[in-house]
Amino acid sequence: MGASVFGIGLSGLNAASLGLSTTGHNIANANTKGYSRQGIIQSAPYPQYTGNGFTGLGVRVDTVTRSYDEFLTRQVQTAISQDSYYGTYQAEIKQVDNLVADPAAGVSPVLQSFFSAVQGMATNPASLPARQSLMSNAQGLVNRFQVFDQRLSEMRAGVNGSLVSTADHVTALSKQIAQINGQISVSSSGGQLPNDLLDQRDQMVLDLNTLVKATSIKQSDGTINVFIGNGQNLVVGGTPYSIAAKPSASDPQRLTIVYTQGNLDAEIPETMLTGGKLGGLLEYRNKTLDTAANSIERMALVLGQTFNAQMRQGQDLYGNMGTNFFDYQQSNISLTHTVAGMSTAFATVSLPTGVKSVASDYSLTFTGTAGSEYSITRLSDNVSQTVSAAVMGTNPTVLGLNWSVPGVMAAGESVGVSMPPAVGNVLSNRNNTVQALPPLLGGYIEDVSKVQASDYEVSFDGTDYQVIRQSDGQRTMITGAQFTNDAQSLSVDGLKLKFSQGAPVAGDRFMVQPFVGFSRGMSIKPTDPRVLAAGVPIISDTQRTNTGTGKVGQVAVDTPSALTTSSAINPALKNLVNITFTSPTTYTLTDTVAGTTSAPATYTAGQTISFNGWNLKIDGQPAQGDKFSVKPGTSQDADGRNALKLGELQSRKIIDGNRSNYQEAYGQMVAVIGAKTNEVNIMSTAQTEVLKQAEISRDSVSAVNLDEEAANLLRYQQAYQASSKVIQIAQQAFDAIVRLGG
Amino acid sequence: MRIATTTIYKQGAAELQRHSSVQAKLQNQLSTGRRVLTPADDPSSSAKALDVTQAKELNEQYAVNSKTADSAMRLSESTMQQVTDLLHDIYSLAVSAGNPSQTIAEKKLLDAQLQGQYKEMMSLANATDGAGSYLFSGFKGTTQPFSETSFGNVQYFGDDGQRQVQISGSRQIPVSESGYQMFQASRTGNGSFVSSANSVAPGNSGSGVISPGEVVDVTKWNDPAHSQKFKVQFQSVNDPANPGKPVIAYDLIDNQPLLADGVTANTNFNKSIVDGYDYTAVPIRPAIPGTLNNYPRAYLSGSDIEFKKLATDPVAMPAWDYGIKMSVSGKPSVVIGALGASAAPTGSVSSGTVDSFNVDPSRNNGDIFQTMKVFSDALNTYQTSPTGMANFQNQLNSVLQNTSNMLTNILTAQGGMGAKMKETESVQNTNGDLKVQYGQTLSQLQDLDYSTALSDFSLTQTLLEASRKSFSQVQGLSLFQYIS
Repeated sequence: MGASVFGIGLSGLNAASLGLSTTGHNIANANTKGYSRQGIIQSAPYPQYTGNGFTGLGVRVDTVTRSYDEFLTRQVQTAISQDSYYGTYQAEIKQVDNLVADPAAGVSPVLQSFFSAVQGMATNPASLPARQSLMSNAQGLVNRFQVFDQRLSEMRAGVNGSLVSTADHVTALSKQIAQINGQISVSSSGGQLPNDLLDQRDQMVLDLNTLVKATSIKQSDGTINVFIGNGQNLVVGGTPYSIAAKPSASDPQRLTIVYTQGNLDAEIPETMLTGGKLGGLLEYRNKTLDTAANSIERMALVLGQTFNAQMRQGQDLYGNMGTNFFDYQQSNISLTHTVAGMSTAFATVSLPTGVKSVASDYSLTFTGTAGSEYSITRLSDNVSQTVSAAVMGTNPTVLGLNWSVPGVMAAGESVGVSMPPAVGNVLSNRNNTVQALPPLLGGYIEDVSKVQASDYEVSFDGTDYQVIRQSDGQRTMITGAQFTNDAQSLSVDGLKLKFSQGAPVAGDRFMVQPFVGFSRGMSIKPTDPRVLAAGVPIISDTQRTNTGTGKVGQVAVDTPSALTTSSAINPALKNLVNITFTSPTTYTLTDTVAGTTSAPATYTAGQTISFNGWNLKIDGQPAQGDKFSVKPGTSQDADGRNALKLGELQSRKIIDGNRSNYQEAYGQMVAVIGAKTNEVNIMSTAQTEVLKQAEISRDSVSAVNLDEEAANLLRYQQAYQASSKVIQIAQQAFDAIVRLGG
Repeated sequence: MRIATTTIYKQGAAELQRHSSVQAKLQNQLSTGRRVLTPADDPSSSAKALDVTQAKELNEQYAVNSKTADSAMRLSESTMQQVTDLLHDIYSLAVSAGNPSQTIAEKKLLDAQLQGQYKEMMSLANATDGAGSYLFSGFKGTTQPFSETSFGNVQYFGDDGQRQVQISGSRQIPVSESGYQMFQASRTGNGSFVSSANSVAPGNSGSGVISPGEVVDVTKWNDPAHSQKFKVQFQSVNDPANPGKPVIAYDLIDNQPLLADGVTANTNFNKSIVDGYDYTAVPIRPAIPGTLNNYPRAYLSGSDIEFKKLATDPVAMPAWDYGIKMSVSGKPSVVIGALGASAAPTGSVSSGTVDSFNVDPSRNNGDIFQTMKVFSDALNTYQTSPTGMANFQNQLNSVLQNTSNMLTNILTAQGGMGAKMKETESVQNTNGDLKVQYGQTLSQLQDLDYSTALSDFSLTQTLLEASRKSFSQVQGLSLFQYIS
């Protein structure tokens, strides 16, 4: 009997001791991340049957448990993944947001001073300081585009760096989880759960979720399997798998996340990597960084191209036609020119190898004269060169361009030629089929009013092409027949893409980045302020002996079209044209250079006459025999008409299908980035709150409360003291018996 | 609910953090005075603000431009005013030169005055602005617009361009006038036709002075079916009934050799439009025996010469009406020699001389300098004989008429300039208003409401204080303090 009292006392003593050490463990880990408080489960063992009934055998500690709720833990994992996603996005987008808002780095202020300088030249066309000021302001504008581009490139490099370290971190965590999985499966084979290991593993899964959204599934042996993306295994039992940030197959400059298995790298679709830091980085790069970069570069391109076209319409202080003001890479693709109504190409033009740009427009005329069948004119300085049909067959370089005429021209036919801006970059996908002569896709900007601020992916399925606009995923199907009919080229959103070498095979893909590097290659071409074309090369004139009261207005050159391949002016613009009134209500147009006279046309007062690329308003009542003319202007140093047109560009809606002007296009980008930042800010705050609530819920179950532990300490202390007393009493009882005997 | 110890700390810290960040943002807003610090604070406002800023700065640019336009026009306008004044002077000089009592020497004195005015006119026509650009040379700013080859023969080297300045988004205002249009392109004659004495040497021999004439019906005058160049030809013979006194008659002759196309011969050329007589073969009508004077219309000094079929005209011609009339006063033609008391026309040609006056369509080439030359020549060649005085009067009439036309021309240009200056002024006013409006819009878009912000700021401060205090008290509570 004494033994049983001893035994019972001892069991109580042991249980209390275990309680004390568990409480101590809890207190010690009160600040340990992911720690779940533990407690002991004790019970009374099966009682002993005696004649007196069942007698207790003391207490038994069954197990040490942790206070844990799987649902709440998962909730924290999900919340932290989202929180980290928005937190990362917020930290990154803030830089762009600050950049576009910064008066020192934003494009708005310099754009305004550039156009103020244009107005300055329009008001004082003869003033060299005004012209010089325009050139320096233009340089300032180009610099600003370049600074913007550079800052965005730095941010892009920053994203690449973060992707590498994050992917490494994910791989490291996957190894740790696999390792701890192994330990858990060994430890739990004894039937008891290794609480602290489980907590550690939960914390690792939580850490993994801050990097990328991961799901875990518990296995019967206590291990968990972890998946990321669209179901890629990251951990299976004790086996870890790894991911890495490697150059993407479509663009080597761009790191993307690959899943590595042995020597094989498989790209994980970026849309599949949703939450966590990785998701935030990728989303930021695809949605914000690309949009910002493409928008700003597109603005630079449209501005440069439209400004140049208008400049080429003008006349400089030397009396020459204007030349390109902004210099940038022009297309090195052969341009095909056709005459309306003819399906076959009749002339192709290309830049000689290594030449970045030409400053002028050109015209090609088929004269039909034997031995000098073709006449090529550089429109800026009106220098002409004749080329015989034989020489033309050898694809000659004439006046700085390569020419050939594969088609048949009729005598007198003429075409104006302009060199368009090149498409920035076209990358062949690394996984394209290897061919002896790999297909090279290139292209040019054909219509500046249609270009969208986006990259494009072109894929070929063997017969048809599919073009995917990256900014919004819009797909355009171009059938093989359409491709053939469009002179073997792909036309999409104002871009013209052609294979300069080879042909694709099924499955080939190309990444088209129309604007990349545009501003980096942009500069101001003229160095002499006198060559800025502020004037208009033609002027209207009234015959001095007219008897009628007819008056002509100022002659204006037709607005250049948004198409980049046709010359900005009609080559016959400067021909002296006489408008002769054959009667008070009819007139004829005589082009004295071409030697042609039109049939009499009916005159109504106030009508506008358009001819040779100019338009002119005539008002009043001319008399029979009255004559007006449009003639080349000379020494027009006070003529600011073209500068006024240049100034009008500021508010002309050109971009996005003639919907926005430069400033509005920029403003839209600022609004998009601002709205996204705002959204991310709000989401991030909300998500932090969600995470906090989830953590509080989990902590209310799992985390340590020191007051509670203090109470437990007292409780187990008392139990310990009481059990000690039981043993003491048992001993005293035993002693009494011994004394009786002795 | 069970609260973990870490929760107390986490929650306290998070609250402190939140209040601090709100306070930092408010502090930033208060110190910059801007509500929108980055586009994220208000995306639509900040994009709008960029657009409004551009509009505002454009507007300021237009204000600068309109000042430039205004000063350019002011300069032109004041020069035009001087030209107007000078033309007034020339006009009064011409009026005073019409005084028949003046001697040849006095006319010469007037010419000396005119020479000075001519020089002044040249220098006004070649006026420059402050930067040395010529005011009236069109687009050719550094080309001297007018230079003379000889007195009165001034050539224009500028062009017809009008310099323009952008003074608002939709208005490019012309700030210059072409010198040609101002000085050398006024309408001649009475606006429809010019009447003048025959200037082919030796000129008229009589004392006829033709009036500028007037258009009775402009539609009939402009009818392209008939020519617009005529000759009023006079003939006088000695009146047998009243010897020593001539009897004068006249004819109206089509004087246009080619049709308006400049190629086709005019079949009516040199034919009388009154009775169809063709002067080509016999330039002076032969006398018809038995009559004194075979020209179809009798002349009465100062009465209307009407270009239409009169009742007294020969009935052979169909009715015609060219819609103009004029008058000739004096004796347009004198009888040569003494025909004697009973002289009667006997030969095959008329016995008198023929004086004629031309009627030509008005053109747009009234040249100030040329007119001054005509005036000067008239003053210099003035003779006191009736023929000389009539010649002088005819020339003076054309000078007066042309000077008046030029005044109209310059005043029109000046008026146009004034209207444009008015327009610029109103654009400047609008610009001022717009500037205020844009400023207000911008302020609404991005500026801080200080009262709200300050009250928010002090509220956040109170909250922050409270959080700090409660946090420090809560974390001071612990059961361990009571276990000894």
